[in-house]
Amino acid sequence: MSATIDVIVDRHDDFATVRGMHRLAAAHATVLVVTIAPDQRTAPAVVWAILRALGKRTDRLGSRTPTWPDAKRWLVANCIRELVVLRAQHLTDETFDALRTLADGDDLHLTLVVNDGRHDAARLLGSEITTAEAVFDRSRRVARPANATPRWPAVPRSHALRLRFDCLRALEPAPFQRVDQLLNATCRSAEAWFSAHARPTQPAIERALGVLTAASNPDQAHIRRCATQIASWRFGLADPEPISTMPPTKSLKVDGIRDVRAHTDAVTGARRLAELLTGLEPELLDLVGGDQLTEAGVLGDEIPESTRPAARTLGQPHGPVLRRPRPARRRQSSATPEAGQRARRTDAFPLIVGHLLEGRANCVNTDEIPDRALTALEDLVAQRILEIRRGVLRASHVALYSTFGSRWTPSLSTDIQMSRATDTA
Amino acid sequence: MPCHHLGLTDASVLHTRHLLLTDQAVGDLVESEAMGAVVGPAGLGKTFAIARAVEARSEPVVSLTFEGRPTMRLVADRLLHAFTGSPARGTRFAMTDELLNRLAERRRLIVVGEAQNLTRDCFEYLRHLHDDPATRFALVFDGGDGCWEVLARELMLRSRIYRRVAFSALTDADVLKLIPAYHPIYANADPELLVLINDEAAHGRLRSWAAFTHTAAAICEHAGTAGINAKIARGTITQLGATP
Repeated sequence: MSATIDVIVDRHDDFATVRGMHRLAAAHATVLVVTIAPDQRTAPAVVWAILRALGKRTDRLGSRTPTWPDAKRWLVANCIRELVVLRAQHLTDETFDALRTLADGDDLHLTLVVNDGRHDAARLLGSEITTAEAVFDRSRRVARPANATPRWPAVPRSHALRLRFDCLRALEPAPFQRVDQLLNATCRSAEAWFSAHARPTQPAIERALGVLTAASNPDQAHIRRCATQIASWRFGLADPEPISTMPPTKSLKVDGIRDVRAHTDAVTGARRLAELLTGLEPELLDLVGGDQLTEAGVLGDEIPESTRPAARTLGQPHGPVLRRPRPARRRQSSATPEAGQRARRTDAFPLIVGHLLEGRANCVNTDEIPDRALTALEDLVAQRILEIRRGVLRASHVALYSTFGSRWTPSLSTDIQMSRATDTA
Repeated sequence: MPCHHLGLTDASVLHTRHLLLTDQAVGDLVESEAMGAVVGPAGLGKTFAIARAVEARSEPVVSLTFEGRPTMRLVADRLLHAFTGSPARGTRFAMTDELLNRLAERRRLIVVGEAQNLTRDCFEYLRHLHDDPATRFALVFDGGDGCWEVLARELMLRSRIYRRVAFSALTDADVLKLIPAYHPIYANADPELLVLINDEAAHGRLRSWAAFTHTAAAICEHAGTAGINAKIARGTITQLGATP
């Protein structure tokens, strides 16, 4: 892409031009006006002029030095289409080139206001000379940011222990991959939470699962709900009902909006947004996935338009996004269930399911199963989640695949292998 | 009331045309959050007039004076120091950023003394702070010889000067009208003596009038006389080493 560059030669830096440009930016959210101070010779200073105009603050910058990718990220997040640079005569050749590259990459309409066209003639070669009035009168469409969040595929309302398999059969590869990633990421998040809490109280579990299953779309919610069920059973826990104990989403005041917009770091800004809107404690914020915090909303609730740029910069990973990624805690089969969790296993059904999901080598004799649990397990047999042969229960390949058993980690080869196996069957 | 030069006591404020104009200009500048200049040769009472005008205002005032040729960083540093009370830290853009935030907090008045020492870049930097749509401050340049020339040379600066007061020396008529009320020693002074003092010692400069009066009042007190006479005037001129 190649950006359009216009130049206004304003010999006396007319105050009317300055005021007019700021009024233009106030009237059109897609226009950003930055002023280059005479001492802003370095790239970080010019980048900061852009970020400051977007509401960023140095006291929320930490020890980072602002870079051009920061400028690019936030210009895109704020849907800026026109960048007006006042006193562009102060730009060095280096920063001018960087600005042009930035505009080229994002198809940004760049308007440079200089006070001496002759001085800048060489580098402005090929640019259109225009007037402030022409810029004011330029026609502008109301830019609605393209919704970056694709619709969730409709997923079958299968049992949690075969949802993945049913999606593999029902969906095209691309939507399936999206579902698979969300299912796996949520499952891992839930397992990590269970691993980190030796003796969680029932309300704590319900609140954590409440966050993990919150979604703005019923299909997304079903996938997340299934993932938490899988994790619960793998930990030998009865499927706790997630409850939303979060207070209703709060409305943000001007100070809150400013605070969110002040952050240059995408994660910090988004975390602050989620914190202000949901009032969740830090530990629960750690669980929020990228697909739960989008410009469409946070944990299923809408977010104010003015703070959406903070959510737009996150991307859409399905795992937790509001903290620095930590190495996934891989559960060792020998280490689980842990002593504390064993003590919680009072219900035979999740105990047996968790045991069987550890692999085909694990089996349970039906004679040893209490009647109440056996009824529930026979229901899973009917759904081909479990197999029963000669009075012995095992998990089916469908169940092991659907719960990401050791052989069935997400990959194309395992998907193909599973498809072939079941086609043959 | 601001202090007279050398801490001269019993002196009253001379309501010169320039003093009244400065009063009006500072008020207008603060109300409009605009830029202005009070210029003229040294010793004419510019700084006194500004200080007096500022006293009547309730807005916070920051007064800075730059010796030598300051850099933009020094200007930013001194301004920030005036706001925070501690030396500025961080990169230049972080300093500018904080300055812009501080200057947006509330209406203020910034007075830059000895503005003739500012470089073009420094003027430009202050203009950058002032032009920001969020900042709210009036800016007064208090400058001696050369200040107006720098401002006027750049139309981008000149065009932003909303009020300008150009001080000039007191004329003989001014002296005869104002000086008798300046200090008790002049209450009954011979007009020709006042013109002589102005010609030989003060040259229409209020600072010189203050220096002369400070010395003459001491001599009067020593001599046990309430008013100035030709002998005391000559003695004072000699002490001051004044030349016509």
